[in-house]
Amino acid sequence: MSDTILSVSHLSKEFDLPRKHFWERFYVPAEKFKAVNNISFEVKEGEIVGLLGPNGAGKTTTIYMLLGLLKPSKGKISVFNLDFSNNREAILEQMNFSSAYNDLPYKLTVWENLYVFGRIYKVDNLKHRIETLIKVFELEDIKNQRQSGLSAGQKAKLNMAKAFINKPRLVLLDEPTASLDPDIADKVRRYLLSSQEKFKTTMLITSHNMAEVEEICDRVIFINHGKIIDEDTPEGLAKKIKSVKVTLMIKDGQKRTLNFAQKNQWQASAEGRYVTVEVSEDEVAWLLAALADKGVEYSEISIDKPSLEDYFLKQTRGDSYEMA
Amino acid sequence: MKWHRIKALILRHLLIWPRNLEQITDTFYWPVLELLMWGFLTVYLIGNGLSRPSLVTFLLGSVMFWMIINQSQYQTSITFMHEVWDRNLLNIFSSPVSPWEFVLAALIISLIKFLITLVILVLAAYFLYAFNIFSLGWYFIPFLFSLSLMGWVAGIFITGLIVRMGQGASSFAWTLLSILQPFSAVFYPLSTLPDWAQKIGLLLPSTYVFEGMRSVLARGSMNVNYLIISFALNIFYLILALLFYKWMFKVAMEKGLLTKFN
Repeated sequence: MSDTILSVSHLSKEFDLPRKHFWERFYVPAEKFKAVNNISFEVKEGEIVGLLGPNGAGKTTTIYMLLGLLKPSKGKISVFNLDFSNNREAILEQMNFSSAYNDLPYKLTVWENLYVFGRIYKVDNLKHRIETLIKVFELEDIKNQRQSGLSAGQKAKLNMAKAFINKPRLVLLDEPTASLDPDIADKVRRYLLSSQEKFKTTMLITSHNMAEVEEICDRVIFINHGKIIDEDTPEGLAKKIKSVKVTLMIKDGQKRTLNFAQKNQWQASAEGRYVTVEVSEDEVAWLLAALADKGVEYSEISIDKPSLEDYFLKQTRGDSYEMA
Repeated sequence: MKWHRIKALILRHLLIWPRNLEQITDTFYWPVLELLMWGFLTVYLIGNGLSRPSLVTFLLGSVMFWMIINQSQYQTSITFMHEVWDRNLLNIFSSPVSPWEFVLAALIISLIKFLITLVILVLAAYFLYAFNIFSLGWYFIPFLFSLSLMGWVAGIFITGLIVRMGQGASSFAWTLLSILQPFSAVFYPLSTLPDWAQKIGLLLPSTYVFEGMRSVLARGSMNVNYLIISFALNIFYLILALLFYKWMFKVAMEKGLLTKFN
């Protein structure tokens, strides 16, 4: 991981908000909405970077600008050390894209779809490449079926196969495993990791599956309201949350536990016989000792360390997690 | 512009062509139906002594020539619509395919399809009504080319409109040329039209082709100026249509319109 594959510098995208009436466009100046606001980041060769954020954060707008589907209002995109605006075709020949929300021509079969896109990208030894991808993504049984007859999961696998048809150096994946069953989703993740290892494929991924991001991403860029809020490894982001969740199955003293938490201004919740208290890591021992002093009896205990999902929720909801 | 990408797009559209019932009806059914309808009308008129036999030649020639414009325009604009309906636009334009490669592929696809339609119409007209399109002699080729050029111009213009305005503008793919048909003097001489309509007709390349066709069929010769003016107008409109298409794509990229089709 050394060379910079993708460099985004002060990228912004502004849209005109729609006016109430059509005729107002002739005399009412448009109100502006900044979907992406002055973001800068780099992705190194062979890195898998997660682009995370809530819905409407600006992730998809950023991806569309990186694909040349949307012209930035300001800023510069450089891919493979080439300026995107002047080298669109040369860059896109070495890139690819897949979105769970995109389709391929529905009257073409799986094989024909891959063949057409393989020819668009001028793939060498195309038939062999198609057979390899069909095997990797387990499309053998349906390779002669039309896209229209595929299930959502099969379509997602076909989209993924299309995204790797040209052995791209940079792949942008929008929710790559959405609508896949856990088994196939796991196989897709294995493929992404093996592609990174064998071919140093660089990937920029959006996903709402935090466990997946933690598993495959080397780094995460967290974006909200069009701005980069944070940038770190998944573990690094999770560690920014100081509090842990202590869950106890209370045999006796649930009310005392909740009162004690309230008195110490800890977030606590009860569900059936289980009580969850959020405390900082260094307060766990003190909490358990204090509950023992109060005669609280419990039969099960679990202490959950903060995850990337906790970080995501903190950033999007601004809820009670204590940040470092 | 890379030929392998254009060929891939052509292949994609030709593969789906026989699998689309609406495409088959648009390419074969409607044109043949229209030819039959006009053909039988002329048979009836001649059979009842209401018209001269040359009317068959005029009417069937006009019907077939109008089909050429219609098909070349329709098949050009429908190529873009197929990408919209298949939710495939983002895959196409996030690949190295450029808007110019796309439009050139659309023109070639339209050329292939309307030539097939034309062969069927020519054969149907010959066997059903003994109408031989080649009675126009060598003029047939420049007439054909000029009319297909006008269809392409309209097709490129409509594609630009769809890019800018979305699927709502797709209705132009079926209607735009119908608006121009009465001014093109397809079935009657230009002089039949009122003055104001003649002025509009003179701005259309198709008018000169139909006037020329009637002249060839009636007198066996034609003023070559008809062809020159027709081509000059076509080239002028083609340049405008390409500039319009480029402008619409630029606006679409700025406003993110291509991404909204999904």
